[in-house]
Order: sequence, then C-alpha cells, then structure tokens
Amino acid sequence: MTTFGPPELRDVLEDLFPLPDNGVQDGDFDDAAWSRVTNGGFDRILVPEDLDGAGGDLDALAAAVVAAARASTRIPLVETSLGRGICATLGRDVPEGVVTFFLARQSLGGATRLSFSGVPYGRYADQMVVAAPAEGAGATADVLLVDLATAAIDPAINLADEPRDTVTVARASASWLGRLPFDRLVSEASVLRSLSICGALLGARDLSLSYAQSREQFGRQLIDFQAVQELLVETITATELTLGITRRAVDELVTGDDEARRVLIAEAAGVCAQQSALVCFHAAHQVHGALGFTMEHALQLSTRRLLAWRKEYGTNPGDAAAFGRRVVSSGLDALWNLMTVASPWPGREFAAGTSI
Amino acid sequence: MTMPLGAAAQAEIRAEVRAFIAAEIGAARLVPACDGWSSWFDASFSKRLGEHAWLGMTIPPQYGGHGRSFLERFIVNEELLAAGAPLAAHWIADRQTAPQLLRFGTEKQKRDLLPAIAAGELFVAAGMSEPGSGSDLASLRTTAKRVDGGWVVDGTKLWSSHAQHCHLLVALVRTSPRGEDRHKGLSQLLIDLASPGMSVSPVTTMAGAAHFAEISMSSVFVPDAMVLGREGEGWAQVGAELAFERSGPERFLSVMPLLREAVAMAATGPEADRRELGESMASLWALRLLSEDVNTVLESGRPEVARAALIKNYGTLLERDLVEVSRRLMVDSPWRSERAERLLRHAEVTSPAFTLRGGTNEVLRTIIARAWAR
Repeated sequence: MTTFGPPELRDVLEDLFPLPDNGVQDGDFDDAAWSRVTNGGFDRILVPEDLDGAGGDLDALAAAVVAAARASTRIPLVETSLGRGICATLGRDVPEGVVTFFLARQSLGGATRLSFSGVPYGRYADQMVVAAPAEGAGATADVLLVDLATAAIDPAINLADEPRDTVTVARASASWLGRLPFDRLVSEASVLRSLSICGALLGARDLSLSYAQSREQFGRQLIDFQAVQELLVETITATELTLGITRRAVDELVTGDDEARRVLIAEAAGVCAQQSALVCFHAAHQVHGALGFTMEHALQLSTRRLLAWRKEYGTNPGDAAAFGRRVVSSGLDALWNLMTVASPWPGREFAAGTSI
Repeated sequence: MTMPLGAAAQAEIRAEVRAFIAAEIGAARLVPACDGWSSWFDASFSKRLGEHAWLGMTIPPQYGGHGRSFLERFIVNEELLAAGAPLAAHWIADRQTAPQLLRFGTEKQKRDLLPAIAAGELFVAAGMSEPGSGSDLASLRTTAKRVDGGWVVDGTKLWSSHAQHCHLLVALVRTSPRGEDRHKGLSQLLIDLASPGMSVSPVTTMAGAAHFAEISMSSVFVPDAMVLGREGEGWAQVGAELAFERSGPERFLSVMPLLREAVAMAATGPEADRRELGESMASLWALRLLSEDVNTVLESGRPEVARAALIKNYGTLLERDLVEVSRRLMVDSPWRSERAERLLRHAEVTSPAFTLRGGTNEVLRTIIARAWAR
C-alpha cells in the first residue's frame, strides 16, 4: 500500500510489483516486469492521453515508483517515465523503447564527444534524455535527446548491483529538444529518488516487523524485547517521516504555485530520505541478525538500494549542509513561514493508517 | 467531516496570532522562553488568549467555546509554541480536560467547567502518576471509597505540573479493588484542589523551578456529580486522551526560541554545524507534517494513539538534539548574547524532561512497535 496516486491504482500496482520471496534475482533487468509495465502503460504515466499516454501527474507516477521500489524491481521506471514526460512537455515526439535520464551538473559546452557516468540502465536504453544547465541562460536547462544506438557503454554498477554505466556518444547523436527550468527538473528528479527510497524503506521496515514476530530467541518473540522494539521504531519512524514529507513535496510539484517553497521542500525531503535510509539500513539489519546479512535473504534487496539511492540524483542529493546553510542565511522564521504554509492540496488523504 | 480549511483562511489565523505575539513581545508581556508550554505558568497571558478566543477553540459555542476546527487550534498553538509563549497555566485544561469533558462529562459538568476553561480562568492539574507507579500507571494506589452522596479519596499524586497554582485536579483513582484485570476498577474524579484534606507541596526540579507538585489527599470528599465519565472506566477514558496529549506540536517545538537565536547568530561557523542543522530541520519539517495530519484526523474521532506516540517519541528526541545543535551554532559567535545564554542554559537543564513526560519514550516505543506489527 502506498499513499500516492488515485486509490484504484494502488491495488493494480500491488499485483504489478509482487514482493520478492527471497534475495535471489537473476540478472539486472527484469524483462517480465518491464513487459507488464509497458503493456499496462505505466511507463507513459506522464504522457498526455492524446499522445497515447496515461495523462497522469507526478502523484500517479509516485504511486508506481514507490510500489516498484518496494518490490526492488529491476526496471528503469523512473528514468523512462521522466524521459518520456519531459519530451511530451516540450511538445516533442515521445521516444519509444527503454529511455534513460541524466541530469548533468554542468553545461555541456562545445565538445564533440559527450560522456556521462552513472547513467541508470545505460546498457539497456535505446535513448537518453539529458538535462544540463544552459550556458548563459540563467536558471534554465538545455534538454537533449541522445540516440544510444552507436554509444560506447562502459558498464558499471551501484552498491545494489543496478546498472550505472558510463555512456559516451558523438555530439551528432544528440538533438536539442528545448529548454526547461533547471530547478524544477532537479526537484522532480530528487523527489523521484526520495520516492524510490520510500519504497525501499517500506520493504525493509515490513521485513523487520514480520521477522521480529516470527523469530523466537530466549523463549520469546523478538518483538517482545524492548531493545528490538527500539530498532523497529527506528524503521517505522524513518518510513513515516520520509513518506510524509515526500508526499507534500509531490503535492507542491503537482499543484503548488510557489517556486521557492517547491525547491526547498524537495531539498528537505531529500535530506530526510537520505538520513532515513541510513537509519533504517542499520536498524533493519540489526533486527535480522546474521540471517539478513546473506544474499539469499530478501532484506539485502531493500537495504542495498537504501545505501545506493541515498547518494544518487539531484545536483546535491539530500545535501544537509546546503539545506542548513539556507536556513542560516534566511533565518529560522523564513523557514518557519514556508514550513507552515497550508497544503496546496487540502483535504487530501495523508499517510494516516494506510502505510501501517 | 468538516470542509478542509482553505489556505487563505489558514494564513489569516496565523497572521492574527503572529500580530498578537509581536504586540505582546513589544509590550514586554511575552518574553520568549523555551518549554513555555510546560515550564511557564502565566495566568494573565492565558486570560488574554481567552479574550482572543484562542482557548477552548474546539469547544462548541453553547459551552462557551468557539466551535473551531482542530486544524485552527493546531495553527494557533504552533505559532504560540514557536514564539516561546507562556502557556502552562491553561495547557492541560485546554489540551486534554476539555476534550474529555466533551466526550465523557455530564451536561452539568460541561456547563460548569468548559466556559471557564475557554475563558482562561480555570486551570487544571493532571493527577495520574504516583510515588510508586511512575510510568506503570495501572499500578496506582490512590483509592476512592463509596460514601453517601459521593466518594472519599485517600492517596498521593506526584508529578502534577503546577498543581499549586491550579483549581482542579483530574485524578485517576481506584474505585473498586484490584482484580484479575488491573485496568478495571479505575475511575476519573474531578477534585477541587481547595477541598478539605488536600495538601499540595511543590517539588523543585533540577532546573530550579517549583514545577511539579505532590498532592496528598486525606479523606477528601468528592461528590458523585464530580465523577468524570463512567465509574470503573477510567483506564479507557485516559487512553482516549493520550492521542491529544502526545501528538501536538509541543512535542517538537519546545526549543524554538533558542534555535531562533542560535540561527541568527550563526553567520560564521564550521560546515559540520550546517549539516546538523540541515538534518534536524528537514526532520522537523517532516514531523510537523505528521503532527498536523494526526491533529486533523483526530477530529474525525479516529484513534491515533500509535502515531501520536511516534510523534512524541521522535519529536522529543529531535528537540533534545536541537539544544545541542543550537549550542554548537552559537558557541563561537561574536554576537552571542546574555539572553541566548540564558535560553541555552534553561534548555540544556530542562531537556531530560522532554523524553520523560507524557509517558517515557521507552513505553511509547512498545506501543509503536506493537501497533505497526499488527
């Protein structure tokens, strides 16, 4: 269960992304899951209906991202969805096939060859959408579509064995699509990564809760030990906090009208997700003992993703120091003003109960 | 379910409270202090809040209240808390006694007590814990014995904040002998603190304040009309109030006045301080959203005991951290002031209370873990 998207979507997503029984995963791309996703159009959530998409918003995509991440599904859902959505936003043809997405920190300059490292699923992607700060154009980003047919791929993986390849292409294989606000792209990418972390938190939390109730030690269930309860509460709290603030960050991206607040809450959600990932990582493993420290146990699927994802995406993903500097430069009351602004989406169901 | 309050209406209430706070500070009637909701008892400040219709906000108008939503009350309170206002005089009455009276009280009790609570004229002390019971509330030993027309109470209550300045004690007592189920046979009594046989002795905290009181009751007569709710159902009634007691913004905003000063002074400083501040403030933002949500949901009557416990457990740990974050931000500041120093000292020495009061965090964690495990 997630708290994102329309209710009717949630049941569908549970079937679409079944939770793994154990930690054994064959290969780094789940073809069967990807077929289910593409057949159901879940890779075209951000594409308008008249372009054969689902015409959904980031909230609907959020539901799918959390569900996929909760099940540690090996598919480029975030990248493909975002890539297709950006092209549609720019009024360009929506690329087919597997699309990856890359957010560059510096402008691309005039080099004849372009090289990007840490590209998610680069080896599987047909095309790549790149957003890079536009030279001399203030806060906007150049968006390019790169054909990967002739790309040189240097394969690499992250801590969770997910493909994070170095992709090198000739400049000529990149076509300029247009410009978008850079901050907005950073916020979207960062919030999507926080959503992925929410999914992995849910996965690790639920495994911990069920293990603590099934495992007996010293004649008692683990959950009867106060010390274990404390660890469980760490996983629960990390999950609730991150779900809550990421939910509001999604609301701001979908319906908010204040750019400064949107940027700030996306940052705060990233900082929260990053902290929560580490807290939950350690607590969940401590609950599981040596059993959870094996490749065979499903826990590592969630926890290695927590470790990997907390370092990915955004220009400064979850950079707590940057967020702290903002607080100091603006003063506490300025932050308090932003924190206490009413939800841009009043009356919407919050996390209440549904994530329990 | 009431209609959600629009953003403009929310902003309007917030602006009114902020303007009031600014005027109070300007007139030196409000000196921002940490832990003002629990540490600082100021009857006249509470009275002024009553005059502004900011007490008893969710009490229906026929009982002297203002018929406002839980969210409106949340907004007013979080602004007052963030400003470090002295709220201790009315806090218990407004937060838990009023909802309890509305839910369990007799018509006469509601008519007699609620208007005075909303006016900021009736202050209540919580009579729960005892010298021998601590966090294990059900082990309490104060008894009430049936007599003609009422009850006679004997026993001692401890850790009742500011009871020496309050009018009424809401006491949980044993009204029938302890049996198999020790949660049965407990009742809540509304006891006039001026009753014959009551003796209230302040207990000085390590912060140097006569904050708590010990209340000895020797053959105190309590008329039948002052039983709150149903005889023998006290445990369940107290349980119903816990979500109000634990989910509010007072569980994470106690040190805002200190933090405000510290951030203002921290123009220069090491990177590590900024990181800690950033982490804490992101967590605070997330927790505030949860608290706002729970307080809104409580209006629908949905039980939120577990999420309330989560808010209190994490919020109090967070505010404890924020004391140290503040100290580090201001430690080398050239603008460090005597006022900031005083705020820091008080927050440091008061901080153990954060994670003790309202149910120690260890007890809360058991509640949280079991709730999510279901």
